[in-house]
Amino acid sequence: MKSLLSSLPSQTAASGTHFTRTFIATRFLLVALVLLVPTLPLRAGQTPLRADWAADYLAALRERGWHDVALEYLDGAAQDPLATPAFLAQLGYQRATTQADLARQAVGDAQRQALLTAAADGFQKFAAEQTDSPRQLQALATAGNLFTEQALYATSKAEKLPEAAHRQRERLQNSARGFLERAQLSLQNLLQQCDNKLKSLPKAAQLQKAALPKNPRGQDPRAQSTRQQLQAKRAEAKFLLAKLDFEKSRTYASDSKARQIALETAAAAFAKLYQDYEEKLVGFYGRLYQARSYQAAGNFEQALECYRDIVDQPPIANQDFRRLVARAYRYRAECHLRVDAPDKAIKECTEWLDASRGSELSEPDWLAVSYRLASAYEAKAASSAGSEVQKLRTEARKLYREIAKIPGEFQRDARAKMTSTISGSDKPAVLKTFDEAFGAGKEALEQMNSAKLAARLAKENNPDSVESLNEQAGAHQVAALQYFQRALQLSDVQTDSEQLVSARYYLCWLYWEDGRPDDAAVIGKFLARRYPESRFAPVAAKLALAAYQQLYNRAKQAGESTDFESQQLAEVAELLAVRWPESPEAAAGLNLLINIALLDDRLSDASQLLERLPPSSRGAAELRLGRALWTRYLNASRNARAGPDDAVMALKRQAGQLLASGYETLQVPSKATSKVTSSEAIGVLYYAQFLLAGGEPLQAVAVLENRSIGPLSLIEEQSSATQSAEFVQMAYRAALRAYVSVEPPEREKARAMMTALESTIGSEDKSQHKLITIYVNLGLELQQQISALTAAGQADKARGVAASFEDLLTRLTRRADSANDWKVQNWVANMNLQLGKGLRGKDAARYYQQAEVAYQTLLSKADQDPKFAPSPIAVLAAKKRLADAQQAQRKYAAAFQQYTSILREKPNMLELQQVVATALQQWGTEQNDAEKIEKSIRGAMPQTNKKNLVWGWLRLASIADQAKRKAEKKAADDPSQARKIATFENLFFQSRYHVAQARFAAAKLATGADRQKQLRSARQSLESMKRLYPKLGGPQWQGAYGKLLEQMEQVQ
Amino acid sequence: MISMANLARYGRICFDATLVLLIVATSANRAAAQGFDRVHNRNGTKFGKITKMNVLGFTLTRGGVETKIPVEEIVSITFAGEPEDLAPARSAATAGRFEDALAKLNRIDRNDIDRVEIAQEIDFLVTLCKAELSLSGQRSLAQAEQEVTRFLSKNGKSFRVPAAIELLGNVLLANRDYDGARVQYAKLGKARAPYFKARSALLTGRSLHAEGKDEAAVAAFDQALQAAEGNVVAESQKLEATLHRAVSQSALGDVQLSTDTVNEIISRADREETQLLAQAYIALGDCYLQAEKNKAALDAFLHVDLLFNSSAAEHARALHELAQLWEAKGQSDRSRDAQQRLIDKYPGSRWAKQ
Repeated sequence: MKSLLSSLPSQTAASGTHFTRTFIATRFLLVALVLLVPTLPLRAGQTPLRADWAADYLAALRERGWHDVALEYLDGAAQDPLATPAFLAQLGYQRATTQADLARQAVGDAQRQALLTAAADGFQKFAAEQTDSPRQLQALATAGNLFTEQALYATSKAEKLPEAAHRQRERLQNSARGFLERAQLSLQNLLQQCDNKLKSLPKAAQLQKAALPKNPRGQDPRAQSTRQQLQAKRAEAKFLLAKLDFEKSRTYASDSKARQIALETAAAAFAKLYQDYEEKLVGFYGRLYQARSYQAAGNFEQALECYRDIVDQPPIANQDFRRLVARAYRYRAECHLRVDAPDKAIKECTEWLDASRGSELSEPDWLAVSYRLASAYEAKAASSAGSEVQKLRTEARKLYREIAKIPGEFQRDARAKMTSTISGSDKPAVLKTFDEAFGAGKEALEQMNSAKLAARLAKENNPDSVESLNEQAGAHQVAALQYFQRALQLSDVQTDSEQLVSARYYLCWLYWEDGRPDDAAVIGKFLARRYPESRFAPVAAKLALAAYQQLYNRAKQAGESTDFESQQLAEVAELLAVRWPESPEAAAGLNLLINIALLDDRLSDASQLLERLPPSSRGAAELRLGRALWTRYLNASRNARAGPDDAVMALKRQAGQLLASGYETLQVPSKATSKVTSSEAIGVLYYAQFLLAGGEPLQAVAVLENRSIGPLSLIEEQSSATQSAEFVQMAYRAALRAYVSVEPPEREKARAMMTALESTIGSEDKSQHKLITIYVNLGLELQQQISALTAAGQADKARGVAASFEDLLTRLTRRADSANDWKVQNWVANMNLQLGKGLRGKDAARYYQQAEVAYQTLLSKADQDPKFAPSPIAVLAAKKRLADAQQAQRKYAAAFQQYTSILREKPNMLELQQVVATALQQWGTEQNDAEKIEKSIRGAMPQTNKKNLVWGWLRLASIADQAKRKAEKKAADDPSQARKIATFENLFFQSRYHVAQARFAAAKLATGADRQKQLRSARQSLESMKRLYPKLGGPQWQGAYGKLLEQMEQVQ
Repeated sequence: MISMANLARYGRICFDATLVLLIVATSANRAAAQGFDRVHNRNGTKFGKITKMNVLGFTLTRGGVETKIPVEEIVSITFAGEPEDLAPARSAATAGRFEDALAKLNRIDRNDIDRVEIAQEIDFLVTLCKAELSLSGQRSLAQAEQEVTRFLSKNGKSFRVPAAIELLGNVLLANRDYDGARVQYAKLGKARAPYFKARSALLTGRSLHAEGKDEAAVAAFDQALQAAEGNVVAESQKLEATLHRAVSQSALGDVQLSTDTVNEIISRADREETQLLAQAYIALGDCYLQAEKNKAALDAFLHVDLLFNSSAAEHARALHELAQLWEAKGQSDRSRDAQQRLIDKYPGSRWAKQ
C-alpha cells in the first residue's frame, strides 16, 4: 500500500479561497491519479519506446513547451518515416496528453475548455480502443481527472460571480455537474477495468503459494505485485468517486435540498470506504471526508465525532498520516468556532502544535491549524474583558505574523488581520458603534494618504524608506477597508444617512483599489441608483463603470460570455447619461460603451451611441468610429476583387464624414486648448491619411500641420499624446507623402520629413531595414500615383511627383554604406525601373536609362566580389530587370542576350520563358523581322540535346496544359492545387493568344498569296481555339481573342 | 562537410561507429604496447607493421606476410607507440567535438614523435579539426584553406591525402568557390577505385546543387550511383547520392517524387546514422519548402534542431530556416530564439550572416 500512502491528498479548508481550493484539489487529483496506475510490466514482444526517435522528438517538443507543434506533429505522425509501430499504436494517448498540456497554456477560457474536453474524450477513446495497452488505466484515470478539473473550475467561477448574476451562475453550475458526471463514468470504467484485470490474474491463494520459497510450480511472481497494485488503484478510484459527490454539493445553492442530498450521498460513500479499508490510510481519508461532508451540511456534532476517530489515533510517525491528523485538527477547530466554543479550539490546536515537530510548523496543514488558533484567540477576545483581551490579541497577532511570512492559503488574510490590530496604536480596535468604525475608517484613510504622500516625497529625499512607507500605506488601506466593512455591519435606522453613503462610497473605492472590481461594481451601482442626490453618486457610478469594464475585459480575454458585464455596463452608462447628462462622467460612460461596441465590431450600435453624446463631447468618439469604419473599408476594398461595391463605398463616405466632423469638433477653442489624448491624435492622423488616399494632399498637409491638434505640431511640442514611436513614424510618413504629392511638390519640407523620419529609426540593421521598407512602400504608392496621373493625361503633374521621388532615391543612395549594400542599391535600381513604367515617352526613357546604369553597376560589383550579392538567385533577378530596362528602351539585342544568359542557368523558369517569348515577338514585330516572330512561336537557340533554350509560345502552351492536367489529378486530395490550376490555365490561354497574335503579325509582313495563306492560318488557329474551349479561360481572354479576331477580319 | 564520421565511411558499409570506437579504445593500447600497428577495416582488425604507404593505402607486414590495405577500406587505425592523447583526440574528432580534440592534440609533445606516420596523423587531425571549425563558422575559411593546402604540400604521400583533398574542396565550396571545389573533387575521381569515382561524382553533384545548377547536379549524382553499383565498398555512397539527387530533383520541380525518396531514405537509415539523418531531414525540409508546405518544412527542420543537432553545418542551416518559418507562422519569440542560437553557436556560419 505504499503508493496509497504516498499519494494521499493534501486538501484545503472549505473556507479558503476558491481558486486555491480548486487548484490544490485539482493538483491532488492529478497526483493521486497519476500514481494510481501501476507501472505494469510490458508485455512480451512490445518494443521499449526508448529507442524510438519519434518518441524522443515528441519529448523534446514537450520539454520546450511547444505543445502546439507537438499536436501538429502527432496529426501527421503516420507519415513520419521515423515513427515505429509501437509509437503509432499510442498516438491517441499522446494526442490527448498534448491537448491537455496545450490547454494549460491557452489564454482564452473557451479555448482552454475545448482542449480539455477534447483531451478527456481522447483518453476515453484510447482506453476503449486499446484495451490491452499498458496505458489504458492511466488514460481512464486522466480522463476522470480532466473532467473533474473542468468541473472544479466552473464551480469556482460560479462562486465568484456577483449575487445578481443568477443565470450565469446556474449555467456554470449545470456545466460543472455535467463534467462531474462524465468524470464519474470514467472512474467507474476504471474501477471496472481494475476488477476485470484482477479477475484475470491467478487466485490470491495460488499467488501466496507461488511466493513461498519452496513453491515448486514456478508461477509468475510478478502477478502478485500486479494484484497488489491493482487493488490499491481500486481503493483510490473508490475514494475519488466518493469525492465527486462531495464536489457536486458545491454546485447547488447552500440552502438547497439537492446540496443536502449530495452531501449525504458523499458521507455515506466515505463511511463505506472507512469501513472497507479500516486501519488503512485511504480508510482514514474516507473518515475525514465523511466528517467534512457533515461539516459542510452544518452537522457539526457528527463531524466532530468523525474527526475524533482520526485525532484519537495513537501517535504515528508516518508523515502522510500526520498531515491527515493536522487537517482533522484544523476542521475540528472550525467546527468549535461555529458552535461558539473557542476554548476547545484553543486547547486542541495548542496541544497539537506543541506536540508537532519544529519543521512541521511551516507546512501548509500546520499553518492552517495556526490560523484557526489565531481566529479562536480573537473570538475569545471578543467575549472577554480587561487585560485578558490584550493578552489574547497579542497571541493572535504573534500567530498572524508567522503565517504572514509564508506564502500560502492564509498569507493574505493573516496580513490583513495583522494590520487591523496595529492601526494607530497598539490598542485593541474594539469597535462597537457605527460612529466608532466610521471614524476609525476615515482616520485610516487619512493615514493611508499621508503615507502615500510621504512615499512619493521620499522617492527623492529618502529612497530607502519608500518601501516601508508603501507598506504602511497598504496596511492602512487594508485597515480602512475593514473598518468601513464593520461600520456597515453596525449601521441601523438611526445611522446618519450621509455618513452611511460616505462609508459605502469609501468602501467602494477601497474595493476598487484592492483589486476587487466585483465588490466595487456592486456598491458603486447601488449608490448611484439609491442615492442619486448625493455628491458621491456620479463618482460612484463612474467607479462602477470602470469596475464593470474591468470585469468585461477579463471575461473577454478569457473568451467567456460577456452578457452580464455588458448589460451592467449599459445600465450604469444609461444611469449616468439620464441623471447627469452634462457631466463628464456621462460622456465617459457613453464613450466607454462606444469603445466596447467598437471592440465587439458593433459599428451601428456605436453610431447610435454617438448620437447621444453632447455635441461638444463627440470629437474623440467620432474620430474613433471614423477610424474603425476606415479600417473596415480598407479591408473590404482589399478583399474585393472586382473593386469596392456600393456598401463598401458607403463605409468610406461615412468614415470620411466622421473623421472630418471629429477633427472639426476637436478644433473648437475649448477643446483645442485642453490636452489632446493619444486616441484623438491617432484619429487626426487617420483623417490626414484618409485625405491623402482621397487625392487631397493639400488638405492633408493642413490637418497634419494644424497648430493645436495637428500630429506634426503635437510631435514638435512633445505632447504626451505622441509618445509612441510608431505614431511619430506614421505621422512623418504621411507628411512625406503629402509634401511630395501637393502641387507643386514641397521638396524642402519633404526632405525635412525624410531627415526627421530617419532620426526616429535606429542605426542597427533591423531599423535600417524598416526604413527601407517604409521608403519602398512609399515608393510604391508614389509609383501608383504617377501611373494614375499619366493615365489621366496629367504628364506635368506626374513629372513633378517623380522629381520629388527622385530626392528620396538620391537620399537613400547617399546613405552611409548604401553603396556597398546590395539591398539598397537594388531597390534604387528597381524604383527607377518602376518610375519608368509609370511614365511615358521621354520622361520614362530617362528613368529606364538610370535603371539600366544602376543594374549594370550592381552586376559589375557582384562580378568583382562574389559576396556582394546575397545569393545567386538575386543576381539572376537583377540580370532579368536589367534586361527589362533594356527591352523598354528597345535595346532588343542586349535585352535578349541578358534574358538568354539567365535561361542558360535556369531554363525551366516559366515566367522567364514567357518574358523571352514576348521580347522576341516585340522585337520581330517592331523591326518587321518575320524570322524573329516565328522564333517567338516555335522557340530558338537549339542546345546540344536538340531542345530549344527559348521555348516559344507553342511549347509554353503545351507545358501549361500538361501542368494543369497534373494539378487537376491531385486536386481531389489537395485543395491547394486550385491555385495552380488557375495559373496554368491562364498561361495556356495567354500562350495560345500570343501564337495567334504573332502569326497575325507575321502574316501582315508577307505579301500576295502567302499573306492570304498566313492570315487564313492565323484566323483558323483562333477559331479552332474558340471551338475547343468555348469559355476561352474567362472574360479577360474572351475579350482579347474577340478583339484579335476583329482585327484579322478587318485586314482580310 | 567532412568529419571523422565521413572518414570512417570510407571503409564502412553497415558498421556501428560507436562500437568501433569502443573496440579501438579498449584494445589499442594493448596492440601499441605489443609494438604493432593496428588497422580496422570492414573485415575486422589486422595487426602488423606499416612498411609502405602512399596516398592510396599502405602495406601491413607481419611475420613476413604483406597485406595491402586500400585507403577506402580503412575504418580506423592505431599506430604502435603513438602518444596516449592521440586516441582520445581521434574519438573526440569522430564525435564532432573538434575543440576538445584540438586541446588533446595540443597536449602532445612533438619532440617525442619519432615516426613520420604518427606526425602526419597528428598534422592531419589538427588540420581537420581546424577546418571543421571553420566550416561551422567559428573560424575563417581563408585560414582553413591555407592550412589544408599546407598539409597537402607537406604530406604528399600520406594515406590521409584523399581525405584532405575532400576537405579542401569542402572549404572552397563553403566559400562559394564552386569551380575551385570541383577541381579538388575531380582529383579524387582520378583514383581507380569505384569508391573514389562515386565519391568524386557525389561531391561534384553537391557543389553543382549549391551553385544552383541542379540539372547538372542530378547527372553527377546519377554518375555516383552508377559508379557505386555492385561495389561493396562504394555501396556506402549510394544512400547519400540518392538523398542529394532527390534534393536537386526537387529543386527542378519534381517535388513529390523527391519527398518520397527522402522519406524512404530516412526510414531505411540506420538509427545511429545521425549525420545522414540530419542531412536527410534538411533535404526533406527543402522539398517541403519547394512545395510551399511550410508546416511540414518546419517539422523537418525541427527534427534536426531537436534530435540531430550534432552535425554543425546541418544544425546551422536548420536554425536559419526555423527562424524564417517561425516568423512566418507568427511565432516571433521562437524565431528570435532560433536566430539567437544560430548566432551564438555558429557566429561565422554563412547562415548566421544572412
